[in-house]
Amino acid sequence: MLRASAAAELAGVPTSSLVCEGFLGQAASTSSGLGMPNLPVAVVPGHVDTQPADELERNIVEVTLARVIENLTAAPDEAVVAPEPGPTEVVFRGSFEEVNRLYYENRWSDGLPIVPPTVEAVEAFLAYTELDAQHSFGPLLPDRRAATVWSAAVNAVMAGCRPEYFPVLLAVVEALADPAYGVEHSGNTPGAETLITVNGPIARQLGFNDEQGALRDGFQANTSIGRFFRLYLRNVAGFLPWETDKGTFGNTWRVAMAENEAVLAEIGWPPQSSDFGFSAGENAVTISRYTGGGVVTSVFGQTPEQMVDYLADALTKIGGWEYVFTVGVASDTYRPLLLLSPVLARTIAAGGWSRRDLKVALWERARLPASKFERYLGEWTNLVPGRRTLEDLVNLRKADRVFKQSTDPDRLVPIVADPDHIQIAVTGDPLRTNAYVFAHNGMLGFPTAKAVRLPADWEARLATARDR
Amino acid sequence: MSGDGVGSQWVLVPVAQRRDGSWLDDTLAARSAEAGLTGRAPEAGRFPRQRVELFRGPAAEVDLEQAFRRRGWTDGLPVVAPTVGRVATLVEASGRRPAEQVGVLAPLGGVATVERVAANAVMAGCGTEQFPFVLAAVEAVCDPAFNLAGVQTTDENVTPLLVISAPAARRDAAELNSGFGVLGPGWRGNATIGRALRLVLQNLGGGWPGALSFAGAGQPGRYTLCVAEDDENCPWEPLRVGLGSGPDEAVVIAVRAESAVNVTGGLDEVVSVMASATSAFTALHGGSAALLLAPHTAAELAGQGLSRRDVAASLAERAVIAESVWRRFWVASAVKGGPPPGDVPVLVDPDRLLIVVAGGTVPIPQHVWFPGWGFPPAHVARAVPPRR
Repeated sequence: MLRASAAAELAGVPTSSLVCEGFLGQAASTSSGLGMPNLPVAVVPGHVDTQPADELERNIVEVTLARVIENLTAAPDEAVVAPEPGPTEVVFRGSFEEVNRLYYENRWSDGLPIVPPTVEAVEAFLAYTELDAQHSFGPLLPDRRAATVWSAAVNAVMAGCRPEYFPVLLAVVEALADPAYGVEHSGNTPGAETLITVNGPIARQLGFNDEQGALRDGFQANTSIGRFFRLYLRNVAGFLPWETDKGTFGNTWRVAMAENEAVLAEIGWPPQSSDFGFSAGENAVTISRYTGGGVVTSVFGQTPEQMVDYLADALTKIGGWEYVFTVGVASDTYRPLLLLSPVLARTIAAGGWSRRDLKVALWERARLPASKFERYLGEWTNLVPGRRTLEDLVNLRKADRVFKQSTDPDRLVPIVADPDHIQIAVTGDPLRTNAYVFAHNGMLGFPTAKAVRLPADWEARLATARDR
Repeated sequence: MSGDGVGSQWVLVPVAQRRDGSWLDDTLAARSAEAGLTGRAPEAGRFPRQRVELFRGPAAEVDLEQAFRRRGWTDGLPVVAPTVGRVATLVEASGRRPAEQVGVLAPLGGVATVERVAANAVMAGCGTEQFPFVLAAVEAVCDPAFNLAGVQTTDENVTPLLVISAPAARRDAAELNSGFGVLGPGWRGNATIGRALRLVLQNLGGGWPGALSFAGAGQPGRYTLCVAEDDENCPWEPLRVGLGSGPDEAVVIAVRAESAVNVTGGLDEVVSVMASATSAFTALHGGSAALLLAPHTAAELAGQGLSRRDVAASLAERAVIAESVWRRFWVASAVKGGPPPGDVPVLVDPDRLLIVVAGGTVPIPQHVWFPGWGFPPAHVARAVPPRR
């Protein structure tokens, strides 16, 4: 919302942004990040959804309106944006304990000890890219700092990454800076968390765990790269709890995930990155933001037909309000992710199903009554104003016709408009018949994949790196 | 974590940034240099641009004291080191978030967060009982009606006078004096709450003497100026009740006050002092002022059936500067086109006089006249929530 106001002000149009009381701090930080710390805001007291209509009206008339008029008629103060310490400036010299205390007190760390990012340690990472240290992948909101190679290396050192992870980390940062991903939404109140998927031979070269415990800490590549992502959001994008990060509950960062490509090769399925144009054998990372997830245990059956109903049921159940990203808000951006253990993937493939066949079968079965879908849109929530029915939205051409195949409120409608909107990845314990479903945050963290660019002498460097 | 070394101090940086992240001290250092003012703060602007700073080793406290003084962060008296722990204790007791914004301080637009106000409060010697009063005082002076930009930059000697109206339990807990020597030393509450506000005005607002604050002489009240109302000897309802608060609640009232003028005697003597050159700016601005009224006189007046407002009305009516006198005052020459004809009342409205019953119960009563300064006429009050 403040981004729209900033654009309008830049175009010379006066604005007044209505800000709920609970968001004033975020508004102050966000407007500074937009380079307009003086953006005029008008406070709306309390939380609008919990106020009776007469109280809300009184608040708007007595408190908000006067400020709106003032904001639209008076010229805002002159804005100046202050320089920060230079990106390569040494800010402190001290012991390990002192550095850690300083970084924690300055809110530069997540509360765990960090590895002090000395110039020497940072330079070891820079040796793994041919890009210039000050190369920028773009500015990151809300603080609008440049996503540089240098800052990636600094946060990578802090997170406990090894230098040879750097090509993967740079691909992650490149994805983060891609407008399609939507980094600016990372402080929204649902507090979703991003999952990084690594595809290609580099995953095993770097020692990623793609088997039992694939989403568990305990493996340096998975763990430290996951941590890196959160530190980068904190220190470069500028998401801080109590300020720009309004996640109601939040979530710890997720360890990075690798697909089991040996199994994929064996059953002839393409990797998750194939959904974004990459082929098996190409090194790529995908980032995507998930609101939550749940395990689906003891998937029973000897054929795909016997298994698919249970998996589809899980896709429908793990999710709910998120379907507004299918129809309602930023339609067609919901991308749930189903993880299959190798034994499940092998069984399904043995039944003659391709990865695409599975998607279609899931799409046909992962359905819910239209009336329930509509409650998520605007009865149980206030996400889509105006109590729109799916029928209305189809008539307005805001939803695919699949959502209006009849007018029966009990008709079953899918959770996504297109089978290809269901993502599938294979990882985890090879011999357990469990699956996992992630509900997705739509355009507020849209799946974005980037190629991993290796330095020319990668193999040789890797060989040395492993012995260090 | 251990290993910091004996006596090392992790302290909060107690100075402010604007909303755009820039540091006030850079402006202050530049202005001081332009004005040739290097004596008070020879190391102005030389500090790490971070939330915290580390002073190492057994001499940490001494080094810190010297560094803070040379950077222009003190009032010239020794300060208590605003260590991370001490500041956190105050913030926690306030029940508020460290990064929460209390106000934006004129003239330089420093953002006063709860944490940075707490750092200055620690430096001033506040404890958890005093800190809520400091937060309320900062909120009050940030109210546009207080005209802090004027107070900070004018060449007059104005300063915020803090009047606290609170039940006995709160006054006792915060060690606030309302009796003998109410304007004098000896009580932690009066000494540190007023001092904390001064450090806030200086460190978070930029009110450096000679650089941005142009008061010619200043006044001793710029170290601290904080009085408590004497409920027990006040014959009228407490000020807070008149402001709409409950008798068990606490309130801070900020008044723009020029130097305190002692008046021994009764209302006649008060009128005589009020209707003098001390009140030139009160009269010129049609402004508000404050009077500490001795308990003895208050009792006598109440005994005659007079209310607090009756007393204010009587003073407003009688404190008039004769036209012939006024025309000889310097301020009269400042009126565009010359002063209008007629005698000049010091107070255009009795409600612009804040009468505070405070001071010792001596039979020869002593009152204190605080002439006001500046627009708009205002006494700005803020409730003080109890500490957690």
